[in-house]
Amino acid sequence: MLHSDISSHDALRHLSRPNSDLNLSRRRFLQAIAGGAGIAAASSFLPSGMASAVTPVGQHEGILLMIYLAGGNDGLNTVVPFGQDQYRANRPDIAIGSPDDANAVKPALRLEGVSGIGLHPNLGFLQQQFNQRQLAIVQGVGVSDPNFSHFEMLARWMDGSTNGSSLSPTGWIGRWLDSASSTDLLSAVNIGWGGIPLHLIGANHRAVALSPYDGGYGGDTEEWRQDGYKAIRSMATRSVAGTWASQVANALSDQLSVASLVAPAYVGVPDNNDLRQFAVAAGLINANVGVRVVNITIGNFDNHATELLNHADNMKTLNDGLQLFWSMLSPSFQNRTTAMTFSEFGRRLLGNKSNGSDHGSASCLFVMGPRVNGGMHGQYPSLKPGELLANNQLRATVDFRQVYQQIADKWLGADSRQLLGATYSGLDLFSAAPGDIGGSPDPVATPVFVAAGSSFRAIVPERILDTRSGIGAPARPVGPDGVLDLAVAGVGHVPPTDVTAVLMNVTATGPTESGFLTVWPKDAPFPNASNLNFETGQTVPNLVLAKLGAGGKVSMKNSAGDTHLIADVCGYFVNKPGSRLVPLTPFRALDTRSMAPGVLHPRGVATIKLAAVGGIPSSGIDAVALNVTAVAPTAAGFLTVWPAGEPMPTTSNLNFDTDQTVPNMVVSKVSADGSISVYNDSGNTHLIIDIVGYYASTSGTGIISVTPSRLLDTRGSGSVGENGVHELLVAGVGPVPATGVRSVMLNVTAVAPTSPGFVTVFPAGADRPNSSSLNFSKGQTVANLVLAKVGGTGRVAFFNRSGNTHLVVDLVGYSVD
Amino acid sequence: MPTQAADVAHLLHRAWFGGTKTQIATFSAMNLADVVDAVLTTPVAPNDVPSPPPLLNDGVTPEWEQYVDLLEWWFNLMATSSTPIVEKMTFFWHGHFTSSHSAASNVNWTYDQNVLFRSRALGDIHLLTQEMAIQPMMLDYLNNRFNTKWGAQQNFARELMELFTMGIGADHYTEQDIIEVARAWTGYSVDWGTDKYVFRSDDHDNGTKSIFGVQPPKNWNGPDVIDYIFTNSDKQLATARFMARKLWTFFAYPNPSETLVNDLATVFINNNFVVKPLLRALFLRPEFYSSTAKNALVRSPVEYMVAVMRGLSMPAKFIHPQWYGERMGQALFDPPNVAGWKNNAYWLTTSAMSARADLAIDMHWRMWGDKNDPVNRPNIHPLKHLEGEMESRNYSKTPTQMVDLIESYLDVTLGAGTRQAMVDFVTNTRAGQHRWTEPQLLVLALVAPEFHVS
Repeated sequence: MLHSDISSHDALRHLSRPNSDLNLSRRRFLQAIAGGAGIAAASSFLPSGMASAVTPVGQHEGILLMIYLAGGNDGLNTVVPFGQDQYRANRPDIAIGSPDDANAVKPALRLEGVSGIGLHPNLGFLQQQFNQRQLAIVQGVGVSDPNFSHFEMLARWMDGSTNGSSLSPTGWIGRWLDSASSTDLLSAVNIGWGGIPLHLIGANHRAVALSPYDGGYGGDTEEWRQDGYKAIRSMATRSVAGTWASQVANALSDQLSVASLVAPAYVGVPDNNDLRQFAVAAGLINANVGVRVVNITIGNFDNHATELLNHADNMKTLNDGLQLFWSMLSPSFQNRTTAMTFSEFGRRLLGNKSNGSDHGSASCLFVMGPRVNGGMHGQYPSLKPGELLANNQLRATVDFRQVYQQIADKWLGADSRQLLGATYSGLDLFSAAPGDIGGSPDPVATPVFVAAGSSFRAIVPERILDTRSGIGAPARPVGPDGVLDLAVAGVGHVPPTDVTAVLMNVTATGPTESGFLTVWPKDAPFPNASNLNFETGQTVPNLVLAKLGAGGKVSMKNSAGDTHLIADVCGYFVNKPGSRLVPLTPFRALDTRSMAPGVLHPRGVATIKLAAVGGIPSSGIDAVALNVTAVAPTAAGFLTVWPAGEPMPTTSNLNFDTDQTVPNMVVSKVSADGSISVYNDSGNTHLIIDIVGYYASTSGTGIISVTPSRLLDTRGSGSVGENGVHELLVAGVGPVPATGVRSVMLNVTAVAPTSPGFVTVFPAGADRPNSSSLNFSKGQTVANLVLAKVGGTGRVAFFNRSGNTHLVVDLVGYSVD
Repeated sequence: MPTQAADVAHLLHRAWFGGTKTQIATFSAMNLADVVDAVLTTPVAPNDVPSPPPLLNDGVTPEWEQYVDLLEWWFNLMATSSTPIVEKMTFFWHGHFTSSHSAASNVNWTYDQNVLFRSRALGDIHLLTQEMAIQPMMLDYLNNRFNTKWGAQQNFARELMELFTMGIGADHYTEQDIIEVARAWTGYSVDWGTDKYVFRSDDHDNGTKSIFGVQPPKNWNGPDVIDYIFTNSDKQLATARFMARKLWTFFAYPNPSETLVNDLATVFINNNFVVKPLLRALFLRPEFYSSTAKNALVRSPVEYMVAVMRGLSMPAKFIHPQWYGERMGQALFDPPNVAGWKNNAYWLTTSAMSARADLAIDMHWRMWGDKNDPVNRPNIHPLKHLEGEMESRNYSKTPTQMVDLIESYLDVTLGAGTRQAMVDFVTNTRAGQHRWTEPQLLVLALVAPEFHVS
């Protein structure tokens, strides 16, 4: 019990951030950044300056999702002891049926190898994970001296220390933040609008709060907003009279820092208030901004009345939320992530007469993930009258701090004795450490990255798919949500084995509706990504780096309407010696508006030597990576690029309409002297060629192609303004390693630009080159594959020349040193 | 003896929702006891009772719009009432005897409870406790409507003692007391047809109950328990201390000394749990005017929104309390749980500050507005004179004068550091590419740290 003179109001205060001033050492660090030179230069926008305050999560650091089941979850109806007679006898109105009872409606779900105990019927995903040994069910969790006040018990759970009668003003995760060697802004995050819950508060560090809906104020990159942000940061760095005024200033300044970092986490989340939190949690982890602990709150689990209905909804939320979380979590984080539930208490064995249950004592909790030691842990409390506590309350068999000991020592790399104030033992909840290769397989997907970088073999382009004429697929368009599986390995000059990925130019032609196309490895989960966007009637090409899936195939999915598809392969990747990629800072090698040979006429061919140009060596190159742009063509047509001196292939690289400026990335084999030819089919057009890299057998690095994953979607945060630069951290993000990454292959899409313009992608920190990666007209959604060299900070920069535009960036591959 | 203007301003921020310059000047000429009496002026019921929200039960307005109307009605009362202490205490009781509109979804119940809190705002809390206990809003929220002798339901019994009166304490009540008090409260329910309070004698447990160790056990009913808590010397002391501590925290600062709590508890008991004399004693304590007390509280979201309304003469409908309150962490009529809201650091989360900033921006655009739409966009931006000046670059006020101007609107004293940040902002915008952003100085003032504390 609390000391008699400590009112519950005091206990309540403990559930949120304490009244006392906080000595936030981290803040001083942030302010040093905010007040520094980064803000002084007008072009140096917030994201780059502040992002340096976060450190990506290490390969062997554990990440924890905490799910607070608010109000006291009924453990008896969550992990159902249908084998004990007293279960049904004590709560006939609200008992879950036994799976042994043929007449039971929605009986408990069986658990493999477990008798007499099952799961709530709505926990199908948890049942599946249990049977795959990725779910630990800890039974009988509680305390030896239960109290039945929500607030006092929650305070004890959140505090987690062993102080006997008194509560600490800090929580167990907060003390971990204090003790960790590197704690920064987003180490712990609470999703919600209330205060920061006690368990996430330390003496020197605490979690930040994020809205379930967006990253909030401060994420806009328009230049004109920066003066206001700067003034707010300035208020926080100046002394303000009074403890609380300075804390207000600091909280707002923190918000500015957080907003731009977390924007990607809010893309593609469902509307449902509870499920949304699971999605945002996965997105935050995927954003790789240093998040180690995410806390979400679901429920109301305080089911004093009509429990069967309400608790079933609670269980469905938990089940669907966890399933959503693991399906959205990037494969590269799955081995490093564990989810756990907690609640202040269970419910009384004896049901009440409102078809509900009153406050109870011991309950169960779940610990879930690929590194969890799946199975039953602890002992189910006996329901026999003589073995209960007073008032039909269950006797705990596991102290909740035994669970914390496992999480702290085995998952967070902490010293549990320091966090909990005593030594706990007895549980064994993990089968392997975070990030280890050992242990059981991932619950949803296995990591997709190839062990080593692959070499590139350039070929003269070959058409392997044309649905207009029946090449590679039946001669009919692909319908809405239609998926086309395309055989690539063994087709044409692509070898049947050892091929990891291909580069191919994919064209949508004659679409009947606006939509987009996604290309991904066959049998891999459908990614949240796109490769090209089209509007009704348009012919739109884009180069695609396509990792091959099952059977050497790729899948292509069309989002809407009917469209024909064309694919031209220009090279493939093998795990054998061959050409390696050398990314370059973009260099404009040709601009016919100011350089010879001038405008290309119909059926005209321009041949240009690229050896010894823009960083390309004078000899020894096999292929070049170019961004080719047709400028202001006078008629609709296309361009074909091929190695000079060879017969012109019947393929295309770039399609355009009259007066439309269209870029596309082109990877082309070169002739022996390092030249390429460009054919213009119809009308007069100007031609721009930007060199972005080359492939040579003597230097460079292999390309690692990956299942596409979305790195950025500014539609969740704010568009990039005129002359705005958005810097994107790629090192350590998703499958990309934190160190040694030299370049990334990105599919970059400009969405709804407000004026004609272009985007230049370049290494962050380098001078912006005189080149473009993507051109668009007003309102046009345009994608292009971009080979982007990575800057010294592990980031690439996106410069937008005019108007405002949203950017969507999907990762398709990378190269390492 | 006159009272220092700073003390008057402090008192009006806490007891009311802030005062005007005229009020501060008037009160400063009076001695403190007279000021406190004036601040505690309450209307002479029933003539001064506010008329109900216009859309309530008008027969056509949907439930949600009625709820929004009720919210706006109360916000407008808080911002403009001639007896603000009544609204402040009504706000206190709402956070104390919590209920949730979203749980009950009955706008009449929500309104009726608000009317009760207002009518007893500075009155007898023994009576208030009895009355709130049998309002449908409370009977529904803590499930007592389901509490019958066939199956007792402990929720109300527990919170009555833990959160509404004595607070947790081994010598206050035991787990067994909760079980027995729940039995005493059986049968107090809500009629499904009329949605009104009903006592169902068939459901009431008329057996003997052993409560608080009172011998011999007897047939307690629900109100008997409340009467005992407010009259037994041990229980009333616990209750008086619990309430004194909570009121001091609400009006002055958290963690008052034991001496203070005991002194105020004694005043409370001596005045039979009538609030007004307690508040008089509270506002006359020197500790209330100490440096510990001044600027020791972060404005709650409701207080922040009311301060914005008062500073900008903005009616509640433009504040959108139904959206911003939730995002700032304080949805009025919808506390997060039965314990109500907390204070200070509880409000200072990044997401809540984001919402305050968004409201500030909203206010700027609304006030900058469209001359052709004066109804929805009052054309009264404090910096409206800039409109032509930004075009011509012929500025009538220096950056410092701009900051003075905006400060004068908002009943706030900005510190030197904040002022400098704002002066720099004006200087920079005038010199740079984005001079048309200067009116956003209003946003900076509304997010300035000094404006969020009182």
